[in-house]
Amino acid sequence: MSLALASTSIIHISVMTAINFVFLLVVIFSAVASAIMLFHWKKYGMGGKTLAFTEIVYFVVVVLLIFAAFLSLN
Amino acid sequence: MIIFDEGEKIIKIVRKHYFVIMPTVLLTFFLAMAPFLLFSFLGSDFLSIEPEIKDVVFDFLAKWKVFGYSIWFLLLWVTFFMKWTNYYLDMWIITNKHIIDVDQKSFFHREITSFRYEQIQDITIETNGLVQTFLKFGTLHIQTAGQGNNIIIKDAHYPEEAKTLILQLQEQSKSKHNL
Repeated sequence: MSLALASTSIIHISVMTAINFVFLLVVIFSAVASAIMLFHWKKYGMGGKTLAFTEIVYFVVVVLLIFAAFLSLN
Repeated sequence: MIIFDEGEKIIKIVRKHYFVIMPTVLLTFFLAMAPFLLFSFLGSDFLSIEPEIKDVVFDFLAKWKVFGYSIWFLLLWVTFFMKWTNYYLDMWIITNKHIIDVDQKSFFHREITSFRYEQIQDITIETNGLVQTFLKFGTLHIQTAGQGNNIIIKDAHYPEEAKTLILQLQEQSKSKHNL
C-alpha cells in the first residue's frame, strides 16, 4: 500500500515510512515539551510532594506510551 | 527563579482551586475516548459505507490501533501537562516579608510582582455562585498603597484562610516596624 503525497503522484511513500515519520515527529515533540516542562517544574515549581509525584507519573506514562508505540511498529 | 531576601521564609503557597483545571481534564478524557467512539460509529450501520471500503478501513485500523492510540494518547498526555503546568505555576507565595504574585501566562511568559505587608491597605474576598461557595474558593482582592498595581488572586483555594494569614503577618510586620 502506498500514499500519494503530491497530486501529480510523483512522490510515493510507503505506509510504514509515513508511520515511522509520524512516530519520529511525535517523539521529538514529546521530548522537547517534556524538557521545557521539566525546566519550569524545577525552576519555578517550588518543590513539594505534588510536583515530585506528578513528575514521576508524567515520565512513566510518556516512556510507556513511546515504548508501546515503538513495539507496535515492529 | 524567584529570589528571596535574606531570612525570608515561605509561610504558605496559595494556588488556584483544582476546579479551574477540571474543564481541561474533562476535555482530555473525552478526547482520549474519542477513538473508541469513532470506531464504534464506523462499525455501526448508521453510516452507509461500501463494504469494501469498510474492510480496508477496518484492516488498517486493526493493524495500527496500538500505534495510533499510543501516539494519540501521548499527544493528549503531553498537551494536558502543558496546560497543567500553566495552572500549577500560577501561584501566590506568602512569606514572612512579602506577598509574591507569580502570574504564569504561558511558557516563558510570567509576571512576578511582590508587595511588602506595609503596602497592604485592604483585603476583600469575592465568592461568586454555588460552586465557589461549596468548594471553598474565590477571588482575593488585595488593595495596595502607592502603586496602582493591586493583587487579584482569582479562584484561590481557601481565600478566608489566606486573608487571615495575610492580616496576621501584616500585624506582625507593623509591630516589628513600630507602625
